[in-house]
Amino acid sequence: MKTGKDPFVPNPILGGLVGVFPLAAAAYSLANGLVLGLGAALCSIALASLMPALRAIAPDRLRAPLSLGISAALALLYSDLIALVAPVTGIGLGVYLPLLAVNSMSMHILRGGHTPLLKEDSATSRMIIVLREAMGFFLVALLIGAVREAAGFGTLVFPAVFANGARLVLTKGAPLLLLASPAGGFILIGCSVALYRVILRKAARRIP
Amino acid sequence: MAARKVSLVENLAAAAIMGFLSLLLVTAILLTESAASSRERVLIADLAGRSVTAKPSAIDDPACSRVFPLPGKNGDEFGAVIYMRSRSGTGRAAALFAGSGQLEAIRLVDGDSARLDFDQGDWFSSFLGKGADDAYPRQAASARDPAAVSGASESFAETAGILERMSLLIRTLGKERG
Repeated sequence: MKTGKDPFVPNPILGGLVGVFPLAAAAYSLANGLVLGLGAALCSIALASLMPALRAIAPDRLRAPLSLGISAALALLYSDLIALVAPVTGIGLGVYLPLLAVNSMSMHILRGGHTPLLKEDSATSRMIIVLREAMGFFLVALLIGAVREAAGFGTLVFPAVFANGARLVLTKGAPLLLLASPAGGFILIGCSVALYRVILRKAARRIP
Repeated sequence: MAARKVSLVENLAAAAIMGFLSLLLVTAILLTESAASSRERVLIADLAGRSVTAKPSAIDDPACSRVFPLPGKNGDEFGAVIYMRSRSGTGRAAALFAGSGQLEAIRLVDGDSARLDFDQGDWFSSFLGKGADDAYPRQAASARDPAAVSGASESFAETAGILERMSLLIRTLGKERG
């Protein structure tokens, strides 16, 4: 039986407040949420896969600059890919794509995560935790983008690559334009964090 | 001495890793640039109604990175794909200019349709035929009036600014090509 003291992996955004700023500033649409969430998830998975090899090769004093170098290379590769696949989304996200290199999610992976589970030695269990965190980040980023677009603009535009650019008009006009702005983003994320904590409390779980 | 050797080997290994990453990045950038150039070529050919075979000229502008010359009997034309970005939306358009810098045709390729700015209305009709000796219409001054301020007026002024810069660049390119 699970108790509140059992270790678990909280959602990095809702439980760890990781990567809140770029999401509040730039994830104002489904496409932006998807691109940012996917980028942070892929970069963190790639970083987590490369870290054991780096630990074996590089001494302590060189590990931090090398990790940042790898993180920057991954973020630039991802920005390039987005510029090719979805140029308008890439232009709209601007500096937030290369900034994935120093996104809190990447930093979180580089410093080894904050959950006690990550202190386990097994590389497999570490990777499973990183995958769960990355998936959690991606899903919440996608959801935040979708809610902000639906409430802020009254539409849901599916990215051309995934759904042939299908556009769903939910309401005429912008029902709650504030949610599309960075201020609205912070309000939505704040409310989601509160809701997440209430749910955790009801389930008798505490964030480690 | 031995410690210094170990340190040197470690530094060399780190430099090799960074060098490998740089090579990887350069390769990726070259590949994506080449693919982007091919896609832009197709968009411009579609707008101009003829194939674009000439090598593009690289330009230094935040809204556009290359211009494709289209040699013709009545003088050269130039095609470019421009990226427009304002605080309220983003858009991408294929444009065709005469050698004099005059805008002959322009078509919105895609836009950030969550915000609609570049999607709504007959956006580019005010810009057609402008350039060369004719200035582009500007709304930056009128946008200072609180009643006139809107995302659309800002995007319009932004697009006018980009087209003006492009016109100047193309006039220079046209003169260089003779």
